[in-house]
Amino acid sequence: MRKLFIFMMIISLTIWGLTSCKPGLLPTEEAGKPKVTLDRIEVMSYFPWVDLPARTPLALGFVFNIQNPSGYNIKLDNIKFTVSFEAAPEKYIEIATPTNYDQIFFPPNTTSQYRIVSVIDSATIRLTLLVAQAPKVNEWNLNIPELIKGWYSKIGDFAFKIKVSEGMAVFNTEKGDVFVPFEGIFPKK
Amino acid sequence: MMKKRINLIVIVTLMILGPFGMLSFAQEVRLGALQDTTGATSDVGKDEALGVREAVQYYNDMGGINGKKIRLFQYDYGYRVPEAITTYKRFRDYDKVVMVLGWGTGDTEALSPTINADKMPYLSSSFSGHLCDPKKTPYNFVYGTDYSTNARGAITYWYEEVWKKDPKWKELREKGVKPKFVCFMDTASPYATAPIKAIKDQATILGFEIGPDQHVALTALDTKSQVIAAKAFGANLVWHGNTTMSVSAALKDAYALGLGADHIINNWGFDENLPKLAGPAAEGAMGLLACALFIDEYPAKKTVIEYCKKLNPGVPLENRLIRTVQGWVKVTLAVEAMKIADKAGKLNGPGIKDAFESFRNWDGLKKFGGQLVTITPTDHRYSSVVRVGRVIKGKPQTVGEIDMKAKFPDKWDSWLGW
Repeated sequence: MRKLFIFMMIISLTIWGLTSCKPGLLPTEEAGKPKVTLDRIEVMSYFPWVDLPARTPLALGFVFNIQNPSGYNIKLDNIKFTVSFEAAPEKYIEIATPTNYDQIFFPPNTTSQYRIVSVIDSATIRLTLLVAQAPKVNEWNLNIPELIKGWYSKIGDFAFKIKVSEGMAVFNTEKGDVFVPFEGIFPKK
Repeated sequence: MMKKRINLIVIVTLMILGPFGMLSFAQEVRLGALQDTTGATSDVGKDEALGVREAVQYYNDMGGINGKKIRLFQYDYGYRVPEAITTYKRFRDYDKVVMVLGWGTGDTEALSPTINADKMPYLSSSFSGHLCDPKKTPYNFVYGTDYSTNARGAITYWYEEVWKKDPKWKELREKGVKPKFVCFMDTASPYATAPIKAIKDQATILGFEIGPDQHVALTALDTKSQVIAAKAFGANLVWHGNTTMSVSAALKDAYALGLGADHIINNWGFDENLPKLAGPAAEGAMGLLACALFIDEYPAKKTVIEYCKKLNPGVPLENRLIRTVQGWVKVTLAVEAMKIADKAGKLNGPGIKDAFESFRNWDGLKKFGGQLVTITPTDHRYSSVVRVGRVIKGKPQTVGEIDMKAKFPDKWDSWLGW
């Protein structure tokens, strides 16, 4: 009986030891926190322009690098960011706020790529410009139909910049939730 | 001997499984949220969406629903009713949510038959009075004084505090003239039109002369023809039923064209942005407030700001609006109902509905400047108290409250569902 007890104790302590003494950084400490960076933006699907108020769809893929420098598995719980198009040099108009709730694990000490596809359309962009972004449109004296048509004609070459801002990725880890803000611009130059 | 051995095995097994138990997921409570961050009401919707997300995180940090984590699914539907209906089906069939936080009047009313058939509690940012009669919409709930009560309260408050007292109207008052009243709203928008029947009824009760409705689109940038029509009628008071952007356009045109009328504004058209957008044209405008303004002092302000910074550090605090606080009010009410339902062992549609209907003068929203909440199985109007604000020296602020049930006790019951 005593032998069995000692044997079971050894096994349990070994397992405790293996699971509680992981090597590497904690995901909750600054150096071990995950990092999210915008790698690139791709046009995932493109449709010929039809004049407003008709609706022309546009699907964009946002490819992020997700670096996990910690010694722990981390799970992306949700991610959201705001997409802005450049309306004039260094002046951006907010277009959409994609949010994603697909849960995915990132192993320790890795950098993985993660893509979010967001489908927008010209009619919704027009509404956004008329309502939420109207103060900027008025201040910068923008012509809404011309601006949107211009974006659609130039996006294949990324002849204007697209900004990702107000980004927030929430990761679940064994050590608690980690909040990672991020932003980026594509193309970078 | 045998008993000792069993105990030993149980203890050691627990010791072995202990660490794995820590790795397992806690139980989740799934919550859906429809938001407008890109559509015709995105001028107010984007900020509310931020508040909802931040509040959910706060309650998760505080232990969720009695230890169960809230998993929020929050989607933009661009104020498009078909998209709202499709997203609702995803909530119901795949995300398996226990309740939905809704947004617009059009989509909430369109979804009402479905959510009631599904027994899905639906707490909406549409405070349409049509959603408050549980005989018709038993699973619909609102988290602010309903539009119709608000509209009745606004016109009553103006009549008593401004028309009867303000020197501006002294001459007309003394001549015994009836105040002339017109409505500016998007006549194609269920949100904007929801309280029109009620406010006209109240105008008739108070003895106003009612002029022709003026159609102002939610996306309007120019409302000169509507202002000219109101001026031709000789309006003394204008009701604005839209959201902030188009209300500000109407105020600016009214100011520029010298309309001379006073303005009362529904709650989604009155916020910190109004004086920023309309400038001096907003001065003196009155509007309805569902809770404290973001710029106000209220007990939960420190927590609200902490979570603004924690979850959305990229959004400047000076751009935040009352809508953030409204998001917190909405989530706080939902969380309380879910906690009650969970404690009763009924964290499901009927259980959450029963929990909502158990609120009696609940003061949990006071820390956000909300009202005491009473919801019963026969009346889903959240409160009878109307909070009135006014733009004074370029800033919106609360100027008074009016309890419509106390003021019109003989009519209150008959107003249900207007």
